[in-house]
Amino acid sequence: MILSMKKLPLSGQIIPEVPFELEDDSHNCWLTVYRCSNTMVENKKPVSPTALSGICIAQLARLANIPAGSIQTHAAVAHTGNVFPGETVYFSGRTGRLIKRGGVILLTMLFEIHNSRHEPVIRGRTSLLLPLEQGGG
Amino acid sequence: MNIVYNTGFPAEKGEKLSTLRRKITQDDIDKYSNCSGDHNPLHTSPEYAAGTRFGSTIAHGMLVLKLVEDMMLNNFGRKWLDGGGLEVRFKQPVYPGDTVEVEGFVNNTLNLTGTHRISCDIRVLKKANEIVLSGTAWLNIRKE
Repeated sequence: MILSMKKLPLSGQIIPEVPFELEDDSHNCWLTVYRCSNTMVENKKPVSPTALSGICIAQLARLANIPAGSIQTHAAVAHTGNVFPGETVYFSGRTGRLIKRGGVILLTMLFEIHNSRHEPVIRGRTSLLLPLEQGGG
Repeated sequence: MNIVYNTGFPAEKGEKLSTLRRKITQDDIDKYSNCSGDHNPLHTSPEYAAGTRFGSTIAHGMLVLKLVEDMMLNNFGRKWLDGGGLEVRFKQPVYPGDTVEVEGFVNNTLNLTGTHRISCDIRVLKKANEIVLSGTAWLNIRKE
């Protein structure tokens, strides 16, 4: 299957704010922070900033029509606050330039996550390799 | 000259952070897929992944990055959660069954207005010392 050009994400596409309710799944070791006592805040385990960034990237990638089979080559995440299971967070982002190289397309995506009070808690960016053909990895 | 701030954490240039080792299983990858909503078949479908250049499912990059976060939390605790970050390049895929080891070294400490910044070189290795990812992690510790 050749990926149709009209299905490609757009360069410079702004992905407007999307609310996302974090399930109260504090026992999922991939969602919350590593189990060590000095990471507990008021007896609650915060959501892992890296896991939250992963959720954000997955949600925004879907909205930006990034195809299955894409792989991540770079990630940068900076966090300034905690978010807890059960909280609603807000994702937003935009795509950068699309660069075609051989059988793949390189795409950068910037993202931002706000907590339930609409305060920014995470900013980040990631680079993705999008396959032009299925099986390109 | 190395300047060591009294942070109570690894803060001397060249100081090795305590490492973290973990075997990644397909079950881990499936659970991470459910947690993140990233159901890319490259991670979850052995049939699809068999037709790609990887030949098998691979772990999500952010799953592997979570292990770096775990190592930073082991070394710096809540201080890392209060303000920090990571920047990495993914170099090799991690396959189900691979055991990875996360290691880090303090590469710089900065005395900024109101905060100490500790930067660390980090990398994740798998068998035969293949580098899975490498980059930088940092945290800002507010001065008391």
